[in-house]
Amino acid sequence: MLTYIVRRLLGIIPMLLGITVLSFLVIKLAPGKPVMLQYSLNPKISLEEIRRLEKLEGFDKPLHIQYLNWLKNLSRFNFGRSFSDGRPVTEKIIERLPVTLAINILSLLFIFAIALPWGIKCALKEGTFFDNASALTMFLLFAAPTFWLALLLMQLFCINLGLLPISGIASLDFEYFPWWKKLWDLGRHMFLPVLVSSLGGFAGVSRYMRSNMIEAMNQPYIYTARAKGLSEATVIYKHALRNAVLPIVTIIGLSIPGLLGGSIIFESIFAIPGIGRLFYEAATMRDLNLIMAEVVLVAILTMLGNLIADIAYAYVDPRIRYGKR
Amino acid sequence: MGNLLEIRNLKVNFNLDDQVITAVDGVDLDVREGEVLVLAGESGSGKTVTALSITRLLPRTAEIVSGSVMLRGKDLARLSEDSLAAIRGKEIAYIFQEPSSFLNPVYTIGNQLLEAITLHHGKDKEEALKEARELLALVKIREPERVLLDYPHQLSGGMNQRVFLAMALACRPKLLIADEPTTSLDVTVEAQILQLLMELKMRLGFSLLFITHNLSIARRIADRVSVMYKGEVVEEALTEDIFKAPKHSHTRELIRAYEKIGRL
Repeated sequence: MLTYIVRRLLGIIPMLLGITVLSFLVIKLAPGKPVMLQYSLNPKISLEEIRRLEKLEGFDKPLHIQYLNWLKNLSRFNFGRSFSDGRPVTEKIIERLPVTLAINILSLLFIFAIALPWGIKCALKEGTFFDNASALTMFLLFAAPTFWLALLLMQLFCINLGLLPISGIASLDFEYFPWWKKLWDLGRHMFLPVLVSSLGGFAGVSRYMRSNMIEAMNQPYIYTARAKGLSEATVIYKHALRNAVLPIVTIIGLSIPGLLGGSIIFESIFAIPGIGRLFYEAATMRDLNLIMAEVVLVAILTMLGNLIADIAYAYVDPRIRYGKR
Repeated sequence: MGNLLEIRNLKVNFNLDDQVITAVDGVDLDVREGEVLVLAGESGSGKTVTALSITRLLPRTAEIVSGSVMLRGKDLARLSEDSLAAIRGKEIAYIFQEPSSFLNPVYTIGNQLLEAITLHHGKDKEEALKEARELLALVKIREPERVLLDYPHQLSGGMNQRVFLAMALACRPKLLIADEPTTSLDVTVEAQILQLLMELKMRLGFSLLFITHNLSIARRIADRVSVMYKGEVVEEALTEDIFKAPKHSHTRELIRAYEKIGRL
């Protein structure tokens, strides 16, 4: 098991290098000059001035030198300074990360806590009214655009019912609250974002769990379990469930980058100061260093997700953990 | 010898989306105490469905339309699911073909074996573990300690079938139903498993209902042979008689087919 993990970790290194090359090139290929942000609104700027700015950022050097310099800084977690306000990129990201992580982890928990039992229930009631009604609902949820749902829910909960705050992550006087009130305040602010970011995943995972469970219930070893005289509950929750959950484990890892992508949308809608909104702002302002840092971050998260998925899968599936004798 | 199991007029339908298929159509079958009854027939003749119907292990689409399955005075076809579960594994046990896929891939052999041991008797863990080792020794597995910790995919098909047999015999059933238990194995292993099966039958004295399409196996192990064809039992006789003087045309065809390839 340990050698397996070490091998997987070593395998990440070349992949990481490849990712940095690709993301560097893609950004460089994009139209528009990065220093434009600093001079485009200044009509008096001279050509020399622009050249000087470019030289300052190292943009006059050949591409491969630029890449190596960037890589060198990257290895020290130094992504340069943001072009929009001159603060270090790393600092900007770290300050935004906790909110996004918190929302994403909460929605992952929410998704799996509800979608798994729901999927199992559908599988056991395969073909009944409950199953069909659930299928229709799930497809609707899956197809509904997040931003639209978010707006509808905001209208309902925040305006018509007035139950929840409409945007942001904390109230204005948050600093002065006692800790329990802080928690309550955060919860109220995060409820809708977590809900909205979970719905699509919830629909997907529950359908997936359903089909896995149906498949597991039709496997030969289920006959064996019944033939032993086990109760139906043991047959389902011991023999079928463990097998049905195996493929789900990989989904957890693989859904991490997707959730982060979704953050861009709901953080913009709910005005939440997280990574997603930072990314969006960076893209619209051609804040090159910030964009590249974010691309690398998402790439690393994707790989970490993959790694977690592989390790978790090996952990739950003995056929991967132990080879054939 | 008295009858252990009496099946009368058993009829099983499969309710598919657009049609109803009758897989077993009025089968009568007796299994006597301590005998080996071979249920022979071509693929799709209803052998397996008959066997699964005995303790209602059928898939959801199947339905027992009529008939009775009497086990020592109790009609299994009319028993509640709970009372039936108490009989499964304890009085009637199964072994199947392809043991490797009939064992659960995510649990160790020990786990699955202990489950069978403790289910019908409230044994403590120590006792059950001892029993598990004894069972593995009974089916002639040489390193029981190691095998208990193994997963099914780490063992060969023959080993898995031995494990399966140990699991089936855990509660010393009166009737063992073996559904083509050697079909997925190669010929040498098949011979070993058959020999083991006969040996254990002599030692433990259970009745054996053995399902196969292989007439040479039937000739080797059976006391009596029932031949199924298109959901019905078309002939039932002592092994010698059936091979010497088959009465039904389908039995004759089957035997002729086997003689042609020189396997009988």
